[in-house]
Amino acid sequence: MSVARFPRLLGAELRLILRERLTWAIIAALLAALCLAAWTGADRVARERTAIAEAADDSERAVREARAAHERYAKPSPIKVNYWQDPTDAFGFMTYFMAAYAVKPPTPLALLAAGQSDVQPAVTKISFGFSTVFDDTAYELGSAARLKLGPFDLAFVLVYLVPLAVIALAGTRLSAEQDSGVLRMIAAQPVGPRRVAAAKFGAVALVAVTGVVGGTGLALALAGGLGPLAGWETTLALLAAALATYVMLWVAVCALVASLWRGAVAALAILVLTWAGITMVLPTGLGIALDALAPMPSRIAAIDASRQAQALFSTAEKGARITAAWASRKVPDAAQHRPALVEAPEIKRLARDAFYDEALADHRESWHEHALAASAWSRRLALLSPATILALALETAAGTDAGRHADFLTAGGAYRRRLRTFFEPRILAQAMNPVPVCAGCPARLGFDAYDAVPAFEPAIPRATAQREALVALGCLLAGALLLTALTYRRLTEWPS
Amino acid sequence: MHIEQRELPQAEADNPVLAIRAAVKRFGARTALNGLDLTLRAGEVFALLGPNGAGKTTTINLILGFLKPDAGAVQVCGIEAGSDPVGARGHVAYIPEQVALYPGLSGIENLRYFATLAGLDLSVDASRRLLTEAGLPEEAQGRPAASYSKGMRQKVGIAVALARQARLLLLDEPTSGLDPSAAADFSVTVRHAAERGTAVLMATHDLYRVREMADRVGVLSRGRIVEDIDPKTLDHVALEHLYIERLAEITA
Ligand SMILES: Nc1ncnc2c1ncn2[C@@H]1O[C@H](COP(=O)(O)OP(=O)(O)O)[C@@H](O)[C@H]1O
Ligand SMILES: [Mg+2]
Repeated sequence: MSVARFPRLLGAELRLILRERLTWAIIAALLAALCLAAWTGADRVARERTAIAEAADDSERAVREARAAHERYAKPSPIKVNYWQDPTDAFGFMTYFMAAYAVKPPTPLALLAAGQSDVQPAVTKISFGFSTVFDDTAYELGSAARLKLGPFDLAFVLVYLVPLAVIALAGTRLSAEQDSGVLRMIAAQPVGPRRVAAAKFGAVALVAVTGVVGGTGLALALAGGLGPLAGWETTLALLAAALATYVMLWVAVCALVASLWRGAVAALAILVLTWAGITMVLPTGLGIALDALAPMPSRIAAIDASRQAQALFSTAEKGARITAAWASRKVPDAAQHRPALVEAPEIKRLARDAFYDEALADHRESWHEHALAASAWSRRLALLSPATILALALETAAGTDAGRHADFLTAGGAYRRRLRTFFEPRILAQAMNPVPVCAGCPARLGFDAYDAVPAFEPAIPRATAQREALVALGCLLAGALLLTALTYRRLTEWPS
Repeated sequence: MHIEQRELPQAEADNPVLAIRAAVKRFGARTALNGLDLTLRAGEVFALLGPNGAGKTTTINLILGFLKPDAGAVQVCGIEAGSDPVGARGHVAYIPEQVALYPGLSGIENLRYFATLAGLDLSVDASRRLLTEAGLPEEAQGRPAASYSKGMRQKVGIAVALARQARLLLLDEPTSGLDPSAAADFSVTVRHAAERGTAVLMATHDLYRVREMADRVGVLSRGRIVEDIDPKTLDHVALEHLYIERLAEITA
């Protein structure tokens, strides 16, 4: 008697699966979910791109208008222009005209995962009108219920719903046959359980991987939200492989549960519990562990410190003393040359900004350290659950992970300081010599270096995304192989 | 149509198809088989008689290699079923008490599926011929098996056995739940297989069919065969007497 050739066995199992109406119903439902998720993702990315384009337009408009004013004011005129109306004045431009933005552009794979995007901005305006206490201002919180459930994005479908679809497809293979008695007919043939299980679960893995990876590709193509890939092809390929491995890992879980020979109802119950454990309980536990490992600094203390700093500066005599100290540090011989310097509004403002910055430096630093620690621990802890491994890889590729947001907020703060460093000497120079540059002209005309104003350099985490995708692929592969090996070991004999 | 039997070397044909020697099988404290001996040659039909729980299915499980004997040996065509179950099953066709099929597949598709598991590539035409030979009406062959009666499902099982050209056919309570004409049909099919050299082991308590089908009858009691008789030498009533006597001994 010849032993069943494996490809023929696989073909027979494939036909069996594709004959089932349930298979097509599951694939159709999955496809619908993927398309909806890709569509909402594409919509979100489009809105982010629009916001960033509007920010760029706004910056250009501000410079264009400043230049026009520069030309207009270069002719003598009887009108009077105050510094807060004057974009040719370094302080006036910095404070009231410049439209500087820190932006976090979506990556080419941004529609894969909303991540933190729903609660964190993609664009923040750098303002010198007020001194900010926190860089991580969140706005437009939206529906609290939606926040709890998470956005219906591709990551949600792929990480949470795909395992359910795989369980629906593969969860009762062999155990349903055991219940119906077909398994005894199968077992009576000259073939061992390993071969049959390999064919059955191999076939279902083929169908599931094709459905999930193909369906995701189709949904992405239909939504049309992928940017030009430009160097992100490897990451995309790694993610596709990681996704396929994630699907195979869940098929392996199904196979392992089938090898317990407990029947279909028990198998489904075990699988759903496993799903809840891996996708919900474990990540929730990891979140709690993260809070313990990287405790959050007190926001109350930071707010209190900022209020104290404000109160201190607004006490007339204290504010004057702080301003004088700052001015004498910046321009040591100011007292001789220009005693009224400390009365100048721009000097007061610069001194106040520097004072707040320094007063809150510790708090800002501890928040930054917390963000770094939380991000580092997140990456480590995520490795403990296949769901968080894949979710993190998708979010990192999408550029919507908490780490990138933290970096972005820090970069925004650094950009603000860079702008201040750029303007400070120019403002000081003008303050030291507060004579209009042009006789009879209405404006100051002292500042025209609009092109030299530092631009924000957005970070595109391409290397991080690629590394994270590779790590995810490696871990998921190891997990899938381990489960397959366990199943292989268990399946020595048919149940009697 | 008849499936051609393989030509066997004379020596092999003389060897027993099934040889069970002093097989012991325990489930915990319970001894299901206690030194069972049974030898079956090509073309023989052996009926294993015994009440529920006598160990008939356990015997079949040992032959299929689903269970391993705690002592003794179970050989199918010289292959140890305990250590090489896949090899042993290569010679065995088994029709369980309840033949279960994939309900969504037709008889033809079910037959082809099980044939694939056995390493055979059956064409649709060959499948039709086998099913017809097994007695499944042509018009039923393409219908989903969900609509089949127990007898019809059993016929698909017979067709699998025919396709496999197995040298040993195991039947577990084959006629229970069949109507009389289906049971008579089944007897004919089994006799037919035996005439072509297949050894048949049927576990049953249907005394009437036993006389009709079997060449030998073994009564299973306390985990061993206590009586090995030629049913033709006894009439139906005598057989029943003997059986009830044995049953009484068991329960005593
Ligand atoms: N897997 C098993 N585990 C424990 N006991 C079993 C198992 N299979 C059979 N038995 C016991 O072995 C005895 C013989 O069972 P079985 O072979 O099914 O009887 P029969 O088929 O003759 O009715 C019974 O007492 C049964 O309870
Ligand atoms: Mg039985």
